[in-house]
Amino acid sequence: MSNERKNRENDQLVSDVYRILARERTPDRLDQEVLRLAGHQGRTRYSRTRAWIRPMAWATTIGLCFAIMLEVSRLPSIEPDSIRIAVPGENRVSELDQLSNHEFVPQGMEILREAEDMARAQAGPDQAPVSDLACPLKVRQSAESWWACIETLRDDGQERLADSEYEAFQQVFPGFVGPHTDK
Amino acid sequence: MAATAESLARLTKTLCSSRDLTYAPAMGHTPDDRALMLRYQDGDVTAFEALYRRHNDPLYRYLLRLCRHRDTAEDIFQDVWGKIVKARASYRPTAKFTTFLYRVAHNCFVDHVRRNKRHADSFELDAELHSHPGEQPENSTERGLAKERLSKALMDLPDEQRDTFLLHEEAGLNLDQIAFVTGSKRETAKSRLRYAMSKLRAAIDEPPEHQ
Repeated sequence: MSNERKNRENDQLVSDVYRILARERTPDRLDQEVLRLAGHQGRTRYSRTRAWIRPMAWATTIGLCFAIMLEVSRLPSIEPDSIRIAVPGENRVSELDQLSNHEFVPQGMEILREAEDMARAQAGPDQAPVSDLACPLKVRQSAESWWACIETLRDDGQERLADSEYEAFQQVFPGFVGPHTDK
Repeated sequence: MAATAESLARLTKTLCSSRDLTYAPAMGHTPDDRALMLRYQDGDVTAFEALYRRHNDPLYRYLLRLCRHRDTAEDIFQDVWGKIVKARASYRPTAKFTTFLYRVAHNCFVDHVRRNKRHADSFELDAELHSHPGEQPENSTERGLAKERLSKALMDLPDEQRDTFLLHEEAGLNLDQIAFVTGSKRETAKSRLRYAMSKLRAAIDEPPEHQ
């Protein structure tokens, strides 16, 4: 026990003498250098994160807005007047004539093309081209208009053309019953 | 009633004479080191300055006597604070900041010794370490001898014992904290401190004619 006390007293004496001995202070030059470094690093990191986050957020927002506007402007404009549904019994030949091929493509277009090829083959090489046929594609898109066209051909005495058109008509509209289906 | 007052007075006297209370910071007025470091982590440079002002002089003296070379001590001093600054983002207040600071300093010193094998030969003891301007001549002579003997004995200590002594005196670390900083066991730290104290005490008690 007395040894511990003696040790403690010795330690205290050594500490006291050391306290008198050790009185150096950090040179101002070192203080300034360390504080400058700490200030630079601290501020740099702090301001760096704050500096680029806000402009980047703005730029991203504006960019997204432009991208959305561009996408919206590229969408095809759909006007209600350009959509027409053919109703049996209603004569809409004049309106169908106004439609372009790009705006309205019926599902049986392939069949129509086949019928045209067949009609061309029956008419022979000296006949008019497909685009000059008596019942053009626009007319063929509706059963009524096509039927009216065939009737017109018969009235004009062009029986051969009327028959070929009728055969094509039967393939596209097999269930159609015209007002004068005596054929 | 009188007995109660007497016992209270005795208790107050005992508490006021306690060494721990002398160094206890005023509660609520001084921000903790770890709090200052966390504030610096958030970009508050003034918090770092306050932290630095608390620890710069003890750390400087620790390195000065550990390295025994002023230029080396200053280089390591800057290196230590540079590492503290860089490590602020990853700093976690799990341990006492002083322990963290002196562990970094200890590791920097060990790295320096490994890099420079001639460390042991580059012994430098500036005259300015022993002179303090404005001191009375008598006191200066009397103290000067004791200080000179202590200083020489301190420089003659093995690195590990000197390190342990300086961590105890300058950083105010206890044995467990010294063991953590130096990466040794508590008993090893205790033994090193005991040897260092004994040698230094012997040097102080040494008669002047033997110097």
